[in-house]
Amino acid sequence: MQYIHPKAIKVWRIHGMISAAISFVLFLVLMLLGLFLFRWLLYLAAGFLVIGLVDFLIFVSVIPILRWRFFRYRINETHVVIRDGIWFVKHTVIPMARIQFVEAEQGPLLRAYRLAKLKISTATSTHHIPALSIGQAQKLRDRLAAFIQASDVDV
Amino acid sequence: MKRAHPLSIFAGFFKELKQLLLPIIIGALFGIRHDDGMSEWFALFGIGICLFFAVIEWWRTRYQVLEDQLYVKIGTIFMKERFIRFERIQSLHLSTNPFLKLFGLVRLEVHTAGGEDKAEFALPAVKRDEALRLQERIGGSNRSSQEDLLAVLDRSENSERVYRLRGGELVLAALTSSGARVIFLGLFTLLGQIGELWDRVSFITPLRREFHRVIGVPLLEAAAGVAAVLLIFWLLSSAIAFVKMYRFTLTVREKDWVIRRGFFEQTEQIVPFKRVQAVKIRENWLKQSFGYASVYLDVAGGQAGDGASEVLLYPLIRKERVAEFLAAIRSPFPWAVPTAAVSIRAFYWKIIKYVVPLAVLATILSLWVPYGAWSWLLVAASMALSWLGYRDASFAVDGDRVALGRREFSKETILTERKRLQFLSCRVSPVQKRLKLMTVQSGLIAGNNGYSFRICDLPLAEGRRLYEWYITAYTRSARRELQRVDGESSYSL
Repeated sequence: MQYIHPKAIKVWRIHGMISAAISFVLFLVLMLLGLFLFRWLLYLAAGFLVIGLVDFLIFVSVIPILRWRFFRYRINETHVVIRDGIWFVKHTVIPMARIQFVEAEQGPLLRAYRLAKLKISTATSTHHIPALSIGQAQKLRDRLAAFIQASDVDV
Repeated sequence: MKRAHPLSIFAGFFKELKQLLLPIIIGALFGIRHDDGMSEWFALFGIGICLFFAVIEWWRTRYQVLEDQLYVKIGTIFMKERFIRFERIQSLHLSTNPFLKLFGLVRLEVHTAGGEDKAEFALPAVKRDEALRLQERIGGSNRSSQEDLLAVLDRSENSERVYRLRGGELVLAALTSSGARVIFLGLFTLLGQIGELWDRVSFITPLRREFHRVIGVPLLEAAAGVAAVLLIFWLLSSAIAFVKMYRFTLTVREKDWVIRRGFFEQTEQIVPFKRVQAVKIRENWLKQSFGYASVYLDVAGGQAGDGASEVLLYPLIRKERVAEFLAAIRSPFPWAVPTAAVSIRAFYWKIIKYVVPLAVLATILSLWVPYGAWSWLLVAASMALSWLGYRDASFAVDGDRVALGRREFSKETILTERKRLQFLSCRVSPVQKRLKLMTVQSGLIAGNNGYSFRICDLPLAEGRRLYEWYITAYTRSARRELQRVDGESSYSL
């Protein structure tokens, strides 16, 4: 079983920071509104403060490391295995012959770190490998495509 | 450019009217009683709109057969033009009803691969000769649809065995078809309307007076009201099921099944064996308590006819006769009883998951809400469901064949084989880990899409056995075997 790219931790941290920042901004806006307009908005502001703090404390510091630590995958000629989840552990087997298409996808953050996300779709479900280096993602995508063609038996 | 037969207007009109029928019935039942005489005008207005759109639709639906494609113009408000290449057409579906038969017309639907479940192009009424000619043009590049047509029009296929739903069976099938659905529908309607129900609904008021005279206890009165509404919903949905399953026949042929049914409109579905992804034996609580089951299919590819992704193969069969029945109709997947061990720990976990939260809710409700104590019935129901559900989560494997038992509201046994399962996931939550349980998830193709389903809370060891069974097939040697054996390509878009 293989780990995904370690830079994924950084990307997830930035994700956490962004959502924490949004919560803090909302907190400030709601607090100002609450002070000058409706007092009940202060409760909402407090809620966002809590969400922001939780984001900052957990989703920036701990969770990314654990997520990386607990995500593993294996790709061979006949199947893909993905192991995901920190507390809710999930093993998924996707036979090569059942894969309908493979996509390498990049958001702006992933692109900045030269990473890509691999999306593996069967007829009924989509499975993700969240962060691979671009080269590796493309290589895997091509390899998967080749395997899929080789094992294109039927459904 | 050609148009459909002008009687399309009426066919389309009745089709739209049929969609309005249910709201009208519900409206009549739950007494929209305006004294100002406006409601008749509203109804007339609605019918007028239906007619208007039917005329427009007929006028604006045009088609032309080009060299290797069909050129169509459709759309009532927004005009759409489409080129449908013949090779993309998966089936040309023809159907009739008594009204159309009178004029020698048929309804024609063009289904394509990759489209939605809806037909890509439909003519509500077209001359039979014209349909045949179209079929000939298109059928030249598409063998299977040719067979479809012959089955519809000739009715002289060399069928082997025909299973017919007889009178008594039909009634029983209709009465037991609704199960949990009707209860939910009824209860939700009640929840939504309970306040107004007592005053507004015309037929409840005399009933209520009667109840009050006979029983005189408000609580019992309410219970009787609930029971009455449930009864009405049950009868209504049974009637709908009756109409749908009227004249149900299943014909077993060499390579496919032909399923015919319908009261007003006879529909016909042809299911080739090789497109069948899974056979599902389903028992809702009504059927289960009488020892009956119904048989459903998951079929890959666009369906001619109903449009539903699930095909009803046979509505009523005695549970103990299922094995014999599946063998007789040459089902690609024989009956097997899921035999994997179940664990009482799964029951405990379900109680924690479902029953305890509901019990807390029920306590709150019975303390603060009038009649809130009735919510304990829900707790009891969830308890019963947990008890049944834990015993139904099971499986059995035999070579490549697999039988998966599970229950959401109805008990279901999915009979299929390894290569039809699109993927397999095993999920263990922290509590499940402690209780040595595992939830298995997998997916099957049905129609043009597919669905995933879960078998919740299998014992860990049994879940692992299923996982191992699934993954071991995909070692290198097994793959070569797979490639050699599976010459037939069953699902290609």
